Amino acid sequence: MIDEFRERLLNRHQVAAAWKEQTGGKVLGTFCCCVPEEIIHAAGMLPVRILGEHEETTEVDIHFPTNLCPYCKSCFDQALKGKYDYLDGFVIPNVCNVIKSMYGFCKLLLKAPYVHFVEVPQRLSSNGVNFFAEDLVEFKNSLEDFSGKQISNEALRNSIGVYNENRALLEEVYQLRRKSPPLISGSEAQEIVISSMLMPKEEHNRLLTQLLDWVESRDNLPGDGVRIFISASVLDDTDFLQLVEECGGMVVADDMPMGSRYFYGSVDSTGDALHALADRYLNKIACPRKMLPDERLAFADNMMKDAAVRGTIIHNMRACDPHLYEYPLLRQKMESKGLPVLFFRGEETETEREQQRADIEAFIEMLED
Amino acid sequence: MVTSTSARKSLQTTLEVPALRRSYYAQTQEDSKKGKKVAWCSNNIPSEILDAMDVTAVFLENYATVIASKRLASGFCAAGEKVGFSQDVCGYARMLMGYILARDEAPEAPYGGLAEPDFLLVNSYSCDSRMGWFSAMSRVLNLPLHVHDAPHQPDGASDSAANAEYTERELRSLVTFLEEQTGTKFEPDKLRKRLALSHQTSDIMFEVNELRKAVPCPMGSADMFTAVWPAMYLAGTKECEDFYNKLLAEIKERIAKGIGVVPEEKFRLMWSGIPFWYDMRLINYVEDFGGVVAIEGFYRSRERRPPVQDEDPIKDMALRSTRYRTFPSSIIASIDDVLDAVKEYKIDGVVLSFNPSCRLAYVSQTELQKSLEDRGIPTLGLECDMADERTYSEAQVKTRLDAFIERLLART
Amino acid sequence: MIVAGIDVGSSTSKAVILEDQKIISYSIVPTGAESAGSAQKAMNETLQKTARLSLADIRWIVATGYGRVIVDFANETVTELSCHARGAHWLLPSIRTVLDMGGQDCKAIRCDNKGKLLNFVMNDKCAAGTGRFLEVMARVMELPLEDIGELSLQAKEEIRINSTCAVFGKSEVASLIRLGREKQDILSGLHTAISNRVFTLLRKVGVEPDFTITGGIAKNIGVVRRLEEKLGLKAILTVEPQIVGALGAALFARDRVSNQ
Repeated sequence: MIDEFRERLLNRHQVAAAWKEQTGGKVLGTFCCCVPEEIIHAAGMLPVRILGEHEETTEVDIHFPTNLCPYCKSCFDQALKGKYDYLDGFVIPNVCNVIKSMYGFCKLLLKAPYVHFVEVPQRLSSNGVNFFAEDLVEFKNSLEDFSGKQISNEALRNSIGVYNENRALLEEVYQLRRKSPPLISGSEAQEIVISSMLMPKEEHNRLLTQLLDWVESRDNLPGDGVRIFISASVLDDTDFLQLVEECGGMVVADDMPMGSRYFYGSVDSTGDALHALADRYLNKIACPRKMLPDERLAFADNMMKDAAVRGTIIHNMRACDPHLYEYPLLRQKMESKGLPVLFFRGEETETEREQQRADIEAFIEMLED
Repeated sequence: MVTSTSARKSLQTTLEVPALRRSYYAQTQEDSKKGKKVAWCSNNIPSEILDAMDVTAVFLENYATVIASKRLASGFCAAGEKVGFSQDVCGYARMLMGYILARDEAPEAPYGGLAEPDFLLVNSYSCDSRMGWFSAMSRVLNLPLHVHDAPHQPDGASDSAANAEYTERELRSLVTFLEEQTGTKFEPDKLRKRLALSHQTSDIMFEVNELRKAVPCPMGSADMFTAVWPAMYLAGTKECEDFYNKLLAEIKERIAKGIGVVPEEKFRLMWSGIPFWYDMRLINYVEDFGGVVAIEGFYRSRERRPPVQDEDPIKDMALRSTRYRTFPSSIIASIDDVLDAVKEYKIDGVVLSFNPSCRLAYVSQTELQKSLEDRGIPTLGLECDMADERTYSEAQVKTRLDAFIERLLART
Repeated sequence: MIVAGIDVGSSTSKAVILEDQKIISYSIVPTGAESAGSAQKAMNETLQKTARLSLADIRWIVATGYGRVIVDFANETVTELSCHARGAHWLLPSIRTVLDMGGQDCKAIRCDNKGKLLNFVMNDKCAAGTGRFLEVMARVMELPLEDIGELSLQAKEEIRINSTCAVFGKSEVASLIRLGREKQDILSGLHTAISNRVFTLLRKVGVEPDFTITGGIAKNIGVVRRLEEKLGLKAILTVEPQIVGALGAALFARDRVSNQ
């Protein structure tokens, strides 16, 4: 059953290309979880999250300097290599310096027919929600122009419904991890979440429903590893969590954009649809670029509640400023709760696996005592 | 006592800046003692508003450059790294966190240290570092933090009413915050007066930069990296206006007499990115070979301040900042901008600094360099942190500069 | 007319004496801890080899390389970027792109049809992509440096080394050895990694044929072959790649004297 999710994750390019062929629809690539995908969905298009690869970058180094987000560089390298040629466009949100810059770089270096910038506010405020809602009108209009179809309010509300359902189902999946022993492993949960970003939501909902039915009678349980909490910047595949599991740990809860931060918090089902989207996408995504430490740490706290966590691993991508600044405060918070912390400043390449393995094994051993 | 690393200046007026700066910092200390409210600010927080509300603004990034220019940065950075701030992050931030959290480990702070803050003000819309750094400070110092936002507008100027309205509301939120902190009411007229002065200064700055296009170049970046200081930190004051009037007069005199930074210009350069504050003499180095760094990219004032858009000064600020964008917000705009400067200032080569900890500037440099070389404009990339002198090797930088100069001179 | 060029590098110091159109003598000595001394040594040895010349016979001396400013008996200095371009071009007039990989840095250089420096891109901040990277790895693997290039071409299995850093690379290699991976395979991964790094540098400067490699790395067939493959170009190698810089310096010295 879990394989269904894994397959779609591993074959994401084919999944998207096949959808295009079957439906004749357009596929738009997004870089971050703060793009309100529902609007794209309501336009009859498929939003897909752009991911990097564990391979040497070969095309991107003549365009970008070295000490920059490895995730963005890898993504752009993939695009320059033609791996994303099936995309009809890119939607870039106003988030961190590097992702922001993707807007100009996509326009300059890639030949996409549609590149749109979403002015996500850079602080949480009611001013911001109102502005964001108005900017989403612009976004909606541009999608209408591009698709040649109007996006009705009903369509928007429908899409919000589908996405909210996905969020609720994913929360249920996450509940399964908190059990003792967990019914779903950390890497499985992450596969499930990431695959949601890569395929039609309705189908993902269908699979999730099946999964929730199936899991209670599951016979190959993930095992009883030492219960770990992960707080990470971008981990755009399950390699790292798998490694933790190989070392005898079990990631039972997480605080990361390719995990909990993607789906926690639903869109208000009342009121103006775009305003409701603005509110959810600004206020409920726990991004350290916008959300101040008190709220951010409260989110992390909330994610590990009832998970009986024994230790925390913090994994920050190299040169990821928002996370690197948060790190000392996050570490302090974990330690004040009596949780030992293991920190990685990552590159997300195969290189570090052996080094990381040794460190994680030692950490798990220490927690077991 | 470290030998001076300051650039050799060509203009007398520029030499007045250090005294202005010292007195500014001394004033902030005095203000604090007198019970005035002190705000620690990131650059781009509109000082005119603070000034109009009698709040003393202390701009931290400038203090960081002062530390860096005295080659004390490594000590402060090391202290900041010790308390958990990665070497990847902004040198200014690390330094200041070191100053706050590990005062004992850090060297002695210039000017007797910073005036104690009552609250913090950060603008969230430019660089990631400022947000992370200021929110960490807020927690550590247990002080109120107000975050000030504005739209990004990567395509430049925008007529969007929504953008203008958001900018306006954010400015009003800032004002409300200041009213709460000071217990005084904001008076629009006070702001209007300061904005008027600010505008005048901007116009003078623009004139100055237009005149720098002359051959020989009357004032180069060696002067401007210092001379830009009053506009950044004393905006809206009479002092500031006087300074630039003086500067303008001096430049006009030099042009009338045909006095350039170097008597016989062999090549003209542009400096793209932040300079290395701990060795500003590098900017002068090319002068020994008949070269001049005529213009800089980062602080260049490209256009006159746009005309007043509204009687209400807050609305006016909002409209001006959304309808007129003078700084590039995307790589496409950055490329156009640098090509424009090359043309206008008759530039023979561009030096691009790659400061790995200033992500905002850094992200564009590789593509910018490529765009120039693709168009046959010689470039040189120099990679060092702008503040942390541990990353600097004079010998390595000189070799590259020497080779670049050889390349330029061989063309003639 | 007799002129000389001195190239003081981080590992070796070289001297070349030119008499009119001919190289009449040259020497390569280890730099050791003291650059000024080694420059003198290289010069002395080179003079001795002529069996007739002394320092006084040399009209003009140009020093280049990392230690160029402390060669007190030189008349002027020119950077190794210009000197490598000039020297390589003089030996092989069809050359337009030079890759010089020394112990501590790596330079990609473009020259015109007269050997004039057109552009350069340099890596001197990071060991990965310099000779030092391979030296360190050879030590970790307990193999002689001169053998690793050849061995790297004998791999049976592809191992991808993704270290962007010599420091991380060391521990990665150590783990691979522990896991029992074959030395040729590990070497292949290392040589590919370093060649990719160098290739980026070359791309930045833009490669125009003919292409040559100078410095110690020219003797590493593993790197040479991989670069040729990536570039789709054969590398035309000079007979003595280490003296190219000093030769270029001597040529600049000759220019100076001819112009007087």
